[in-house]
Amino acid sequence: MATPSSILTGLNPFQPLEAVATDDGQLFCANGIDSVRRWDGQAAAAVLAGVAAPATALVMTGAVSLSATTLVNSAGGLEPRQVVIDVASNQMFATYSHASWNRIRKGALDGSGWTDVVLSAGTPEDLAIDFASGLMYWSAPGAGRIRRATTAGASVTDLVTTTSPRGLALDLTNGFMYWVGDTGTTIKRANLNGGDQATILSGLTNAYGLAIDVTGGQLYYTTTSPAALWRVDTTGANNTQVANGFGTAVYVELDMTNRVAYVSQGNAGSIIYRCDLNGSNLSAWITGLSGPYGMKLDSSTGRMYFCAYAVNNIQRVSARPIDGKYIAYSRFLDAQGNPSALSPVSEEATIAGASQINFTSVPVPAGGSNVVKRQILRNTNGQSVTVYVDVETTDLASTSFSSTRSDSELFDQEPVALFDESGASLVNAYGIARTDKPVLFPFSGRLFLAGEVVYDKGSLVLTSGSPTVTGVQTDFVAGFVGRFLRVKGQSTSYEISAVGSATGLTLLSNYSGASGLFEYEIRSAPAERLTYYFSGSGQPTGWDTADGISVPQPGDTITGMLDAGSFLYLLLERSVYRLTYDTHPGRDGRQFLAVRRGCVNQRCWVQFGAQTFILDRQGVYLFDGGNDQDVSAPIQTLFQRPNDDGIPRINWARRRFFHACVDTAAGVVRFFVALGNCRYPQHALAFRVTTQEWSIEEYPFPVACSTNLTSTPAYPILGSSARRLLVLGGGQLDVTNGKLGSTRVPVTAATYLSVSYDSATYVIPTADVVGAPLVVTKGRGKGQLRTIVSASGGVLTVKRPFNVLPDATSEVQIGGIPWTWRSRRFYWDMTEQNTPRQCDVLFRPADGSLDLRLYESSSTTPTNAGLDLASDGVRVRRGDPDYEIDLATVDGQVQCQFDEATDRRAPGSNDFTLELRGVGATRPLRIRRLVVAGSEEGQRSGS
Amino acid sequence: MFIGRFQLGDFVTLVVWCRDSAGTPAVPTAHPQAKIYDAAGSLVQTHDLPLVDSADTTGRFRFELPLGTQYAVGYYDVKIDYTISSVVYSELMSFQVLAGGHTDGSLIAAELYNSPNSPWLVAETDRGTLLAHRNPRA
Repeated sequence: MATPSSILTGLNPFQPLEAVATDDGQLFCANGIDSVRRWDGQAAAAVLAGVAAPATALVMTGAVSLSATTLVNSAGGLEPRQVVIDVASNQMFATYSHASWNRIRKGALDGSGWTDVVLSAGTPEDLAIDFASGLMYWSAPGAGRIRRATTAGASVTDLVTTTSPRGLALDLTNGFMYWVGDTGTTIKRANLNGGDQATILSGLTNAYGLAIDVTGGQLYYTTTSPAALWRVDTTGANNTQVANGFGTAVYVELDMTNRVAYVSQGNAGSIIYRCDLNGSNLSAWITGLSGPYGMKLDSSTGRMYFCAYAVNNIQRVSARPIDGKYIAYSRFLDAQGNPSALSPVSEEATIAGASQINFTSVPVPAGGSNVVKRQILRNTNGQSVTVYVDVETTDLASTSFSSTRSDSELFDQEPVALFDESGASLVNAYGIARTDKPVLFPFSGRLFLAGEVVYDKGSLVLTSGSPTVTGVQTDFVAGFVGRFLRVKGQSTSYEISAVGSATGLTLLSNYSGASGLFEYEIRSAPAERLTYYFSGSGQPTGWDTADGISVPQPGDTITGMLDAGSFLYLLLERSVYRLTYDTHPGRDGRQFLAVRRGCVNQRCWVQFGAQTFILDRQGVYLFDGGNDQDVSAPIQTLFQRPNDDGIPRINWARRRFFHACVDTAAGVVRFFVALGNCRYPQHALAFRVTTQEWSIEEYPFPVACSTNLTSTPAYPILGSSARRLLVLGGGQLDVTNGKLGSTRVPVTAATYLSVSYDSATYVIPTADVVGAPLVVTKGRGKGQLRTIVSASGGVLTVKRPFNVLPDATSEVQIGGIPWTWRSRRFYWDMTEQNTPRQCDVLFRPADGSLDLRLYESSSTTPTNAGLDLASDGVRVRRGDPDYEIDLATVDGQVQCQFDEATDRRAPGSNDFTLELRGVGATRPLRIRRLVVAGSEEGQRSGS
Repeated sequence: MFIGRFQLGDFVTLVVWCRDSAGTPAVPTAHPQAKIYDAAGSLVQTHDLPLVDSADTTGRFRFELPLGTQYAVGYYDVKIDYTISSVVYSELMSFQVLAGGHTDGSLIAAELYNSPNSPWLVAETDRGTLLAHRNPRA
């Protein structure tokens, strides 16, 4: 396989990762120590699964200070005077009164596409447009005209000739136009074609701007001195000053929806004022402007467009007031857009007439997190079911933001429902999965997380009366905060309050035992050990850590999960529970005790067809969802406590590295366990399902993990040392593929760490055999197994020295896998003295050899041959137990004679077994039959 | 004492059973410290040995030394020092690093993962790295 890519580093390898894929094609990994990670198969690295929520609430206050956005700058023209908009057609028009510009221009509402409509418009100032008719009207005080043209700029016509007209307003309902005339001393009216001119109000001083309330039949106009807002009926009656105190007052704009008037200060000023139509609540709505002149309100969005005359800009600002009771949250998002849960809610703020909401103390993400974006979410006035994204920013450092969105504008933003129909929280289902759960399992659209890690790597230095803990060869992680530390041999547990480094942590309370060096263990809080969690349905990165469920089995520990049928099974060390639920495990789920057998870890169960095999501390059993059937009686010795019988036992201290795999083609399930003092498993308890037979396989290298290819056949893949992946059953030889060159060679010379061969005759692909086993199959030193560490120049160097030095009589098999087979028990026929005791072995001719051994009287020591013989394919030496069978025998049949070896008069048991021993070669060996003569049952055979 | 031959990525088990001047097992005042020297006498690494089996034995310390990038083919000497009652005791051992192996160590977890684009074999090493092999096949 090609060199792999590294997708995650820095993992704590104390507990092997549990990796599972979800239906949406993502891989999730957990180990109960590091954070749960997610990988999509495309990005270079696995990332944190889920996003940590902001821990604190923000503060929200209303403000009246606004900032304007420039839509058209000075490059668009000089001395802009009045702006008119049409939201429906996304058009904006403006007059430019500078002598060198003297035109009307238009573009989109955002200022794009700014272009001329009418040139030489006669120093146009006030502009009013009948968009339905496609006609625009403007005043040209310098030219003493009111003019009209189409909105395309055609058909420019003089409608009115009068002295210095300003403040043009249209009453399209009644077909009139109104203006301030005669240099600010009158208000006049005419038909839309300029006819029937009339003065409706005279004797004014310094009148300037004009706006009309068509429905109310009233005109609002300004006077620059005194700086005041006035109101008069369109008949000219009831002339009244509405408000004053503006400094200067030029243009007026009405918001009839909210019954508000806006007054701009003009060239010399910097403020747009706002007051109710009756003049109350006068305030400086926006300050810091540069000569605000004509304005136009977009009542649908609350945006005010206006001319900033002094800087030759056309600008925009939100004009709608923010009134109501508001709450706000913040949340974080990762690069994939996965949101965190919401922050704590802010204090409810009652905001009256503010044009802007300010957010302060906005939480910032922790350094090194996966956050790339922040959002501030706010409700509309008074409601508490949905919030809307009010502010979204990639600025991860600032703590202050503002918004000018009114409620109607919030409706246009991304809505986030706070609760589902049953009242359950929706948004807070997003979050980080717990870090102390190593068992990760997908089931029915959710991810489940369970189990606990008992961390005990290294040892500690503790001082009585101090909360400080110093570790030796420890790898503490931040996720240990909240877990409990217990010194081995002591009963008190101490909660961990902080982790300073991989070798330093702090306890919540002072250590009360004696000072010294200690072994220890770190575990989850007791209540967490039997609690499991689950993600939202279809939301593998959305975890609500309040959604835990506990298994009612005190003293036990969750070690794994499996699914069978439509149920999820929770595997504990000593029991199995079945979980069933309809829609939500926490709300309508129920748990039932299934069987009183358990499971060693999440990797120690396999499914072979419809059968599930599980390894627990008692053995291996078949599990059908409601019953357990033990199948491991023949290998029970391995599960017993160690004694001095010389038989290794399973080393349960290494059980977190135990695993299982299924070999479908061979019909074998394997449980890889550590026997004796191995760090990683090097033995497999292999169960042939079809024949219900067990065998113990020993591997010359560690096998600490396994999985299966998805191709056909689905070969088991074994993970070994030097990050090697090995295919089990993919060939006859181990490590080397045996397809090229020689694998069985005679030895020409040897040292304790090497064997030499004739490289001219036997070509060995040296790069292919490093790491492969080397077995002495013939001659001196026969049976020794070593690992090749280098190969060159006709010399194979091995890792460990030979116990018996091979010589020129020896032969070695590269990549050979030693195997043994033992027959069932037979009994010699003690009455038939003349019947020969012998065994015929029938096989397919092949290269190499195998050995036959005889074991009598239940002895563990094979019976030695009683004569020297070398004929007809069998070679045996007196005093040696091996009947060496030459597999190259042409007819594939040899006969081993035991008469000289067995004592027909010997007292005691007459039972015997036969054993075949060999080493795998390039071509698979086929033993067809053993035919035994001289037994009580006559001829028996086995294969 | 020669404690064996290893390859890169293997763990070398360093064990010391601390005893006082009378030969009685005892717990030293601090964790024993192992210093590993290469064949040229240069210090390669220093490690403290953690306490083990304290319930059954007294003063026994063991450390599984990972053979990482600091090591190459050759011989190494290990000197383990510990102090009991102000007396410093030392134990010496050596090991050999042979050719072969990989500093990433052994694989301890593996999973076949069918992403929308291709199958992957994802495996974790006992040095804490997650590796991904694309399109695994025999």
